[in-house]
Amino acid sequence: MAKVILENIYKVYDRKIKAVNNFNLEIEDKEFVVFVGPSGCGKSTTLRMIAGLEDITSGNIYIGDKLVNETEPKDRDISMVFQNYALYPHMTLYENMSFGLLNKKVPADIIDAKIKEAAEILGITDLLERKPKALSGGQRQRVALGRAIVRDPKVFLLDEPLSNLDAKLRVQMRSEIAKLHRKLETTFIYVTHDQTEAMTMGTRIVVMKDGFIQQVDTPSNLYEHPVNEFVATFLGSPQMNLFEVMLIDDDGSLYIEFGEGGKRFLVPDYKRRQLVSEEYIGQKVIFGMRPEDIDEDGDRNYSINVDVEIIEKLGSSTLTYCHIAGREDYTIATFDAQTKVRLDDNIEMFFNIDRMHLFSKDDSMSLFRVPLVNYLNVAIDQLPDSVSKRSVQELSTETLVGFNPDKIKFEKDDNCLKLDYTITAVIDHSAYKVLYGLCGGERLIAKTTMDFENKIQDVSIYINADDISIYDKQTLYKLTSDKYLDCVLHEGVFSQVGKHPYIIDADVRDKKDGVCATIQSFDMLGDKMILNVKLQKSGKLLSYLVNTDDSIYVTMPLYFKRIKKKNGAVTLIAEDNNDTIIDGAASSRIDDNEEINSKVDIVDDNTNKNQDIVDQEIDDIGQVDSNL
Amino acid sequence: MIKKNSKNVKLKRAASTSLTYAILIGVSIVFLFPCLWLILASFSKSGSIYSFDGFFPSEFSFDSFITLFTDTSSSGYNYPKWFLNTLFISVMSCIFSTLLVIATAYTVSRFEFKAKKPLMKTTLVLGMFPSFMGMTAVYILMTQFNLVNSHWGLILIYSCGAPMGYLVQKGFFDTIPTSIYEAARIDGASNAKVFRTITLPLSKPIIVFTALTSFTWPWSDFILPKLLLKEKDMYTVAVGLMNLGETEFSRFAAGAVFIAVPIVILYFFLIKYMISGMTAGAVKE
Repeated sequence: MAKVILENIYKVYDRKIKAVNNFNLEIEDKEFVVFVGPSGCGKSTTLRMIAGLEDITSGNIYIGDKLVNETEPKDRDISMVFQNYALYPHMTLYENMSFGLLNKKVPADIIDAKIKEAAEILGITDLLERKPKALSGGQRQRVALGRAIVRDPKVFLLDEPLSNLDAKLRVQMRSEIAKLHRKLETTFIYVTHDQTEAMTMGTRIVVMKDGFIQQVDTPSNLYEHPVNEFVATFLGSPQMNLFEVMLIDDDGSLYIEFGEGGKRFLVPDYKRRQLVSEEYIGQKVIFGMRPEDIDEDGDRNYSINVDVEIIEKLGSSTLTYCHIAGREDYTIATFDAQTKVRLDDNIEMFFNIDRMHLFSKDDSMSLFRVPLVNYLNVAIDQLPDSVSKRSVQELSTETLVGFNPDKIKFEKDDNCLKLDYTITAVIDHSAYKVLYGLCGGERLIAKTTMDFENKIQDVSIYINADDISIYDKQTLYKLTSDKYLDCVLHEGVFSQVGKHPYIIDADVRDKKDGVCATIQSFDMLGDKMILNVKLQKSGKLLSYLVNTDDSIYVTMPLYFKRIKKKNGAVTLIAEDNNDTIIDGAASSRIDDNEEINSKVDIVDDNTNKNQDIVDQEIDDIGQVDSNL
Repeated sequence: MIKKNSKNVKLKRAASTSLTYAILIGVSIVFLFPCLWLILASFSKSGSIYSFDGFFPSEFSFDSFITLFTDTSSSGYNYPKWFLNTLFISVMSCIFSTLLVIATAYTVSRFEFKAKKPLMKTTLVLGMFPSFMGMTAVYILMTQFNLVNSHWGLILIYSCGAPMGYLVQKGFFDTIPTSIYEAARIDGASNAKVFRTITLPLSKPIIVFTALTSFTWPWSDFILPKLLLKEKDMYTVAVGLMNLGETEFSRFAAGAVFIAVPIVILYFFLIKYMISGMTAGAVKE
């Protein structure tokens, strides 16, 4: 029985190329999880890290509750199916399948039984004495699957197994793999770049781009509620049509306007209530509509007059191309195969407004998304005590209280914050429900598996103190430390390529370069320590999780070689050289309420300059060049 | 009009084919003539080169071959012993060279380690220098090891110099897909097991190629044995034959022909493997 948990996984090559960033995922037993994304997004790298074929730069992987970071692939109880099958060419199929078991010193009769069983399932029993070169592609793939099955693994890993097969065979093997999953009842982790495979096979899909997870959800939720433009356009063929429109509030009603003074669509009330924030009103946004949601007939209020420029008859449907204001490319609509529309016709295209999507123009995030954090104005004295104790600095500035939508509970519990919540809309996402509403006049969104009727109702909500964080009102930086890292989680950052809080600031360091920083505090968590550091120049707050020995190694890819903790003083020493970068006399634990003592000097081994001069040098050098 | 054109085309084609054949025949003659002449000379009845009628001998007999093996007494001329020496040196060099070259090439192909690139480049460049450049140094080294006039000294030099030419073998090992090694790793095979059960069986062509080339090199090498071997009984065929005088030319020819025979036989039997071994590294399957 194997859950697979990936915790804060990073993979960095040569200290520069960040292949996988902050990958967090919990895979339940017997799930079929698909990693999908364009080439180079890090999905195969993540799979290989789970298999043990690649080292993990930072983070933890658990297979069935066992930490497997340092375990050899053969001891992880996994099986892998490769894209090019990787069968041993000089051995017969029987020998191919028995190789792994022989290495484990399994008795011959048991091996025989297992192989016969697997061959039976895959329909290759009469091919067992042949060599791989005497088989077709599909047969070879089955042998590769068979080799994986006989090991009786906890987790099956499949790395684009169908990419080398022709289209017809691919469709056939897809259903066979799905059948296999149902029969074997084991966890499957499948990597592909083909969105059709992902949608048809997975129970949950992880969409990745440039090393970041974009969204994790069921196929239908990903299709109907994409969290950003990338996911919206990646799934679905032909691609979703995106239009640049203006969100206008006219006399209390919300409209989207195509172009300056152009056609207006009224945004239905229930859709308006689902907006993640009202601040987008009066601004340019991106309006999305899938081709199959544009029809020849429908509500007159949502139609646009267009000239048909291209017609593509696919047999099962007809694709109609035209131009609409707000979109430079063709707008594509999928009509029935029997449509009477012809080239150069002038027709009305009807938009199905219930299926509309809206995206922000600057960060491409969906305006209907469930936000990562709910921000509320709540007075600090209303919060349970433990919250402010976790704070990294004086809470004198204006603050907001934030918590995750899934952490909202509806039953009273100890050490909770109680709030009054008015639900205005309930949207069903099949696996869970999303509640939209107001709390103290502010918008609040909750995600729950509990059942709620779609009507306006008042409830009480409870949020555990551990799930509450405090944020600075201006910068939205988190001011309380969590159990683990991610202290500078700024919402929306996951959608921006390559921009992640701590990796930006902690790239390769030169002997001369250094970072002026103050150590705010450190938390002891058993055999680990959280180091909360504030960078002087940018004011960013960072947290590092370190193991506490006398020589401590940082577990994140920040390339500090060692942290020496001696008599309450903490020193961060750079990798590759023994120069001290930060020498801090930090002290105190938060719950002792001692004065936070942070005195930091830049100590350069050779010259022992004082801080001012080094500060000057850093200003001269400018930004840390990540291409160093 | 069409007919005339086709005649023209046919003529042109015939002319170019004839030219090609003419060139090929010419080159073949230049190439094969010395061999043919040597073979005929070895069958000559009289020993001396001056008794030839023009290019070719006047009378033919097997005498030279017979005396080659029977006359072992005069002036330390011991062809059978030389033949066995050569065989011994070549076989031992073949074994050790193959082991070393295959191991080197496999390691360089499969593993990453510090200074891999500099090591590869240095080895390649050093291997390009002709072997006799280091003659003096080799001699001095061998005297210090007391390996002058010893077959093992020669074997040592041939074997240890062989890995310089690892490039072809490395190219071959590069064609084995990494995913096979990864699958084996997941299946629980250690590095040694992977080499034994997966790499070696797949490498038969390149091993044969390596063995063959490391056999033929010491077989016909002259400089190194001449440098290191002092006693007439220790000579290889190449060195020994050089000591024959002019009057014994047909014996020389016979010796030369005979020493080529085993190699020719070997090549005939293993030519298939040779070609697949040579071209294996060239194109990725």
